[in-house]
Amino acid sequence: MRGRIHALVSLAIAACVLALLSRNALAQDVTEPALKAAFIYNFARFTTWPTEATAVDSFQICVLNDSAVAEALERAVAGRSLTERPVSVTSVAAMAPKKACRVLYMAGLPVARAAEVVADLHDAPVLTISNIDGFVSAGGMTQFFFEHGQLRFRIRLESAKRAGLQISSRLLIMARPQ
Amino acid sequence: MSALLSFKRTACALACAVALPIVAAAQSLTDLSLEDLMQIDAGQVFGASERLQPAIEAPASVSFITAQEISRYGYRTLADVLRAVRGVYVSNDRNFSLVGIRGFGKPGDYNSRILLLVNGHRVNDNVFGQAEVGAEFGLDPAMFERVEIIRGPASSLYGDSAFFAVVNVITRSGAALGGSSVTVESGTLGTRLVRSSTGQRLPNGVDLALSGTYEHSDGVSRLFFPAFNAPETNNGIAEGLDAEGSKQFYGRVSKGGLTITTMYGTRRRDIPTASSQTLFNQQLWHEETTDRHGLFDADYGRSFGDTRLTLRGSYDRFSYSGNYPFAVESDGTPTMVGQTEGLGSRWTATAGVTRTFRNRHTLRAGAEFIDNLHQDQRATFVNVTEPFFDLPYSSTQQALYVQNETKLTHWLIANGGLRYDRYEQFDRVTPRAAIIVLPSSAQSFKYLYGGAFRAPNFYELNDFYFGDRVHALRPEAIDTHEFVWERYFNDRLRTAVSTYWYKADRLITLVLDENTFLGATFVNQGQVRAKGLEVEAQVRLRGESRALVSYALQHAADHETGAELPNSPRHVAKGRVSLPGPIGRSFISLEAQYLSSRATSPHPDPGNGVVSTGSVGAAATVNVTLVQPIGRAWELTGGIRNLFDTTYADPVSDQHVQEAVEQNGRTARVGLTWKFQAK
Repeated sequence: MRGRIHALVSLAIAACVLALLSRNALAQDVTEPALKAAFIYNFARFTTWPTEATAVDSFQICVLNDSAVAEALERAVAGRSLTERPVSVTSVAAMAPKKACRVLYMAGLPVARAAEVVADLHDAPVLTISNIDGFVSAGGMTQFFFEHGQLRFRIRLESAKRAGLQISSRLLIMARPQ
Repeated sequence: MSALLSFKRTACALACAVALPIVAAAQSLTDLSLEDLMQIDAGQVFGASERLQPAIEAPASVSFITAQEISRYGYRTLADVLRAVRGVYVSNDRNFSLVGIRGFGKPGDYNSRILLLVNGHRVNDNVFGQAEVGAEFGLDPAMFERVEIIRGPASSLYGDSAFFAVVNVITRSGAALGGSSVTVESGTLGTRLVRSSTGQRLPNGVDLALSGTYEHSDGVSRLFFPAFNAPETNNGIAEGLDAEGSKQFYGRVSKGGLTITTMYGTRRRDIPTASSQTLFNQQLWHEETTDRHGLFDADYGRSFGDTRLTLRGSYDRFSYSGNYPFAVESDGTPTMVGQTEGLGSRWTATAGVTRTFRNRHTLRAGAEFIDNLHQDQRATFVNVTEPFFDLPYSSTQQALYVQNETKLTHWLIANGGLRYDRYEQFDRVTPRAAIIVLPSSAQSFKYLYGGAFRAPNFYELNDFYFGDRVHALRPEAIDTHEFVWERYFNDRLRTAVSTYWYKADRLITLVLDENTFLGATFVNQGQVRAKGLEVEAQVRLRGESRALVSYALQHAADHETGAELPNSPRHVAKGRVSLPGPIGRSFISLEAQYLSSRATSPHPDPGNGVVSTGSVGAAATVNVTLVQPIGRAWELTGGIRNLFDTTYADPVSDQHVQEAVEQNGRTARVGLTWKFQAK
């Protein structure tokens, strides 16, 4: 019996040492808004805007109709920059002008309403993202969906090109076909 | 002594599992690469409302086990998967695995109070109502994408059997398999396994997955049962009667909104325990059972704007056959060898529609029609042409249900559901209600009220065995209240606390009745009250590995006598952690499980006929698994179950002479997988 306890203790110590030494054992636990915020930040990192579009003081990410994602984004981008500008997060109303947004995330709208919001941008250089079903078919650029409990995305390259955005091939490789 | 040691070992293993996440430094989610982000489980559940929703908003307390965990922890059956879940315990009588949850795990039940779904489709059979969770389930866990365990009653959505919990097994797509693989495994107790699978998504959008598994184990060669310790029963030793073999086939094809899933599984098992008053250690005519399950399921979903329509047609076929040697001559002449058969088959058609109104209300309504073509039971004796009994049944059922979720404000959700079930003999209306408060997106408080029923199954309605009184059987019912608090801390730690009160009435209970063939019959008379508290903490590690500890305190007792239910441990504690191993890309996964002592079923003393209740001691077991990729194409796995060779037993039904049946000691297996990726 004593031998077994020794065996257990050694095993426990070995496991703890492994955990301490291992560079990969970095803890995470996430809510869906936090995960979406991290994806949105990454989408922006792999997108190039026309230079005139980023010649402003800050890089503005706008959120329409999703306060949880807006809060998560604020935490995620605190102290970070995109296109060498500090990032700011703004919650916007449906009717508000959005052409100053470099990224626009929208949620919780009927798909027809989301299509109107996208159309109102008139191909301004705004990376549009949503979790709304059918968003890319309705003119949006990036759409979240779930597969096997994990977050996935689709990209509609034509919409991005019309708005003068370049999306990195690294991002396109990971996107799912429409 | 041994219980104390068990406890110490478990405590140590649990402490280690808790300590590891704390010592591991946190990394901001924003710093992770997209590849890593895509590996993170977003905590979505389907089975709680028949649509995908965040678990934190679902009207239930939900746990998940993912494909990655199944592979890292070396789970070989659905029973292994369920053992990993907070508050769930699984006992085994060396034939079937019995799921215990929230203090209910009555030996001899056929898991008919748990609803088992495959991709949302019911697979409890229609003769015994049984949720088969051992190898007899018929689907290899390597083909599970994830398993959702949805606690609490859900008859307002699913009808019959969704009494204590719903277990939804979501199967793998071709894209998830991402290529072909061949696995061979070998282990102690003469265990061997061969699996071959292939899957990919073709450029034209068709997704294909195919898999086949063969597994066999000789089992423990000499099993000692003290209850049979007499010279005329081989001094209690059952020799070479513990073998189990299974074959499982799985296929899935999907395109657009249409998914077709097929599965077929068969399992044959020797029964070493001489259950059902059969001859002990009978070598010429083994006591054995064979279970088969086949499924063909076509599921179609399509969205029209904010409305989603789903249509589904399924065919299930279950068959069961058992051999029971009651008297055999020494030359092998079967004087009295019983053969029982059960055959169940059914068509199920369902149609449902989900619609979101102004993003505040989500309404789901559906209709279900089930045609039970066969619900047959038959018994014969070897060398006797006339069947002993032959009971062919068939029946139809219909149901309508509606669920509504209303987001009253951004922090308050009200949830309600109602289902009407119509059977040939009776009908039922089952409600559900929930209030979910979300102070932030990282925290929720839930109050859940639910009802459920379980209809008498066709085994209980077997009037040859149990007499005409069974025709008066009506569904048993449960009413439950539950509070749940779920919280995410700092994007790395999730905690859940749940407390519940269950009130189950009119439970279908076996009572003595000397006018029936078996001397007993079923009546609606049991009343059980249960309450409990469960806590869980989970830390997600990078790359989808995670550590989890859980503890459940539960008390389930007979309402009249106040006696604790058999096979109902007061304490259930678990811990598990999966970590990168010492060599590149390897993973070591360690899990520990502790069950406190459990009462056994009342058993009559063979000497004086006095019925008494005993108990089995507390038990702690530890399993460890190593997964080691070698190069791009190979993967080596090794696992040891019951690492410390703990001796423990599970209570079994009163059909056994034994009160409890000892479980396996330390076992080991190694495996090698060859994978090649799809282009």
